[in-house]
Amino acid sequence: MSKLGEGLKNLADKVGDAIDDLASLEVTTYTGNFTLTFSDFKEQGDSPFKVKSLLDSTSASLESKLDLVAYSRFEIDSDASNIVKSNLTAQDQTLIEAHKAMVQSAMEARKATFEMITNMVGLKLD
Amino acid sequence: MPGIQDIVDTLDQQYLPKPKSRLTGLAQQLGDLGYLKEFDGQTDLINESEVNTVMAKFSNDFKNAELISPKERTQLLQIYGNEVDERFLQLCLDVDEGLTFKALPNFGDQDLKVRIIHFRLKLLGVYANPIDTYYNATSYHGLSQLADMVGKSMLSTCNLLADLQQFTVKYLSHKGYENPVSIFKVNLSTLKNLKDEEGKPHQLKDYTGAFKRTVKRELTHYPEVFNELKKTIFRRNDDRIDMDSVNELAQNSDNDFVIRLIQIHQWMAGFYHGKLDGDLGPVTIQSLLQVIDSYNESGDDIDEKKALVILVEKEGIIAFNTIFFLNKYKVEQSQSDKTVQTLEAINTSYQGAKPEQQAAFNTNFNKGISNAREGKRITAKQGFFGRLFSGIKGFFKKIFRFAKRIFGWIAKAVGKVASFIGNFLKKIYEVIKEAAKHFIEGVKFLLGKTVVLSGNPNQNILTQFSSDSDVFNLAKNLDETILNTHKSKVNEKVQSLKFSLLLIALLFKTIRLLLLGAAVAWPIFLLKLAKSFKQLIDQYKQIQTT
Repeated sequence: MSKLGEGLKNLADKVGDAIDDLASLEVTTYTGNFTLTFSDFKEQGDSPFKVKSLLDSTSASLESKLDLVAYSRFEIDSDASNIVKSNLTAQDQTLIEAHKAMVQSAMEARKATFEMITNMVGLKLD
Repeated sequence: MPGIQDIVDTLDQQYLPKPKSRLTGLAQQLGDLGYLKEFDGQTDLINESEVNTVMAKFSNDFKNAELISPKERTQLLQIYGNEVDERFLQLCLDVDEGLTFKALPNFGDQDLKVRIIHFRLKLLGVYANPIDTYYNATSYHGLSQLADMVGKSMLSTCNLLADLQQFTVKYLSHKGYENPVSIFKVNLSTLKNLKDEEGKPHQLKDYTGAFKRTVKRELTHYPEVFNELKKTIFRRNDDRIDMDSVNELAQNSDNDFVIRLIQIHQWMAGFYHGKLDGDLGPVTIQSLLQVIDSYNESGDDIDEKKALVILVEKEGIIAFNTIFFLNKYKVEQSQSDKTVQTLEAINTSYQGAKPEQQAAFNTNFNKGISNAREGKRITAKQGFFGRLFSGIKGFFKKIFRFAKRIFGWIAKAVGKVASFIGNFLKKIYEVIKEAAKHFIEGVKFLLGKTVVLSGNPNQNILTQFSSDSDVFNLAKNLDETILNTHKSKVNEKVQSLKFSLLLIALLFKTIRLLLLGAAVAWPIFLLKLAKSFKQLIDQYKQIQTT
């Protein structure tokens, strides 16, 4: 099989894997005084995977400086659990608002994934 | 996952547009709408900051003009993301599936709607003033002239110009049959200096019964019109031709208009790169010869002696079988969208071809796509610079009848249709580049690499989406302003993502059998990607109208 064909087949498998991930949804919000170089985070016109590579390469040094603000987990059977930082400051309230907004967006993204999969039902390439 | 990133990298590096090619197209389109001086093809003279400045002005004008519904705006934003303004610009210049208006401008209005109307009038040759001027008596007169041609109100006519195929059909039924043969007087030197595709001298054929019979066939339902022609100009002997009638026909004011209309159709089909001027000069005659040739190449029975002949040589009088072409356009117009079928026809030809033909196709296809990506323009031999035609549906309707031959033309690099193939691949590339952006975006998401970032070095928020680890937010000194910006950007990204993931779903449905079979070639993958993109766009359009 050609390199292109192999890549496409692997991508189809990756889509299949996404089905497992739909069972739950997690949103995590951190804050902190991290020192990532902002100019590296150009979204447009950059190499598509640069940002993720950057995060991966700096995650070790980041973790020690980050504070968890909120964590939400939603199960497919509608169970939900939330962890929120105590003693919220005015600044933290903005972060909670951001967290809530991203939960909504995460749910929409999950719905989009679900729609993609239902459009591909029956696709299994072995 | 091995191979997935290779696909993304190849699409990113070889198929996404280069910034300069984007700038060239924008400059021409902004010139067509009167925001920049009319583009002359000197790409080195494009001033990037000037283009960006007027693009911002256009964006603002488009927003204020409210030419599309909020629903359509949202959908286009989902599909085209931060390049949606470029799509809006194309939409304003579209004469295939263009914008329609609820009312005409008032005298003195000077807005985007007026620019669009002026552009359309200029294209049809009935308006010569600057595009960006206010709606005035000249604008009114131009529109009124066209309204007379189609027998419709001025508003209906203006909206018909958003679909030139439909406009042509209306013209044909209202006036086209009155003037089925266009008679022209040309310089004898023009006739003597005609050249074929290879630059060799070309002589137009003399009038024979073949021309008459073809016209008669096209006028089956209009025998009285044919009988009139028979009495006056359809004579075997030059001396018996009624010269008074010939001169009268040659002075018919509709002649220039009809030729211009045919030029426009040839331009829409990718066969014409000369000036759109309605003047039967050497460029137009040669383009007519080229389109006749293309009809024959695609199996139609219309050679030169049936379409374009010398009627009275010593007077330089030639006859053009206008009605044949207008009737062809009518048939094309009645068809449904043929984009997907055309792409599928090429794929079928590819699958049935020998390996060496497939290899030749791959090479020539990639070369053509590369030219389109770099913004290399197709310039006519005479040095005219082709105006952009952004329509997709109309183009594919026009070329579908010879879709089965396109594979062979590309594989063999057939010289006589080289400019058409260049145009065809350019048109395909317009779809491929949009599809590739969404494919990359969808794959990034599936690999957990979708990131949205807002703010500045001191205050910012980053959100990473993935199908694996869901959503991760990282914020620093976040305030309400940055949060609102971020929410808007994330929402835009998610809406766009929906389109991207559906595109991937459609693509995999399309290539499923390919993946179970032999090696997948890049051109076929790209054609399948383009086909899936077009199908999805059509689905979105259906949602828009329901």
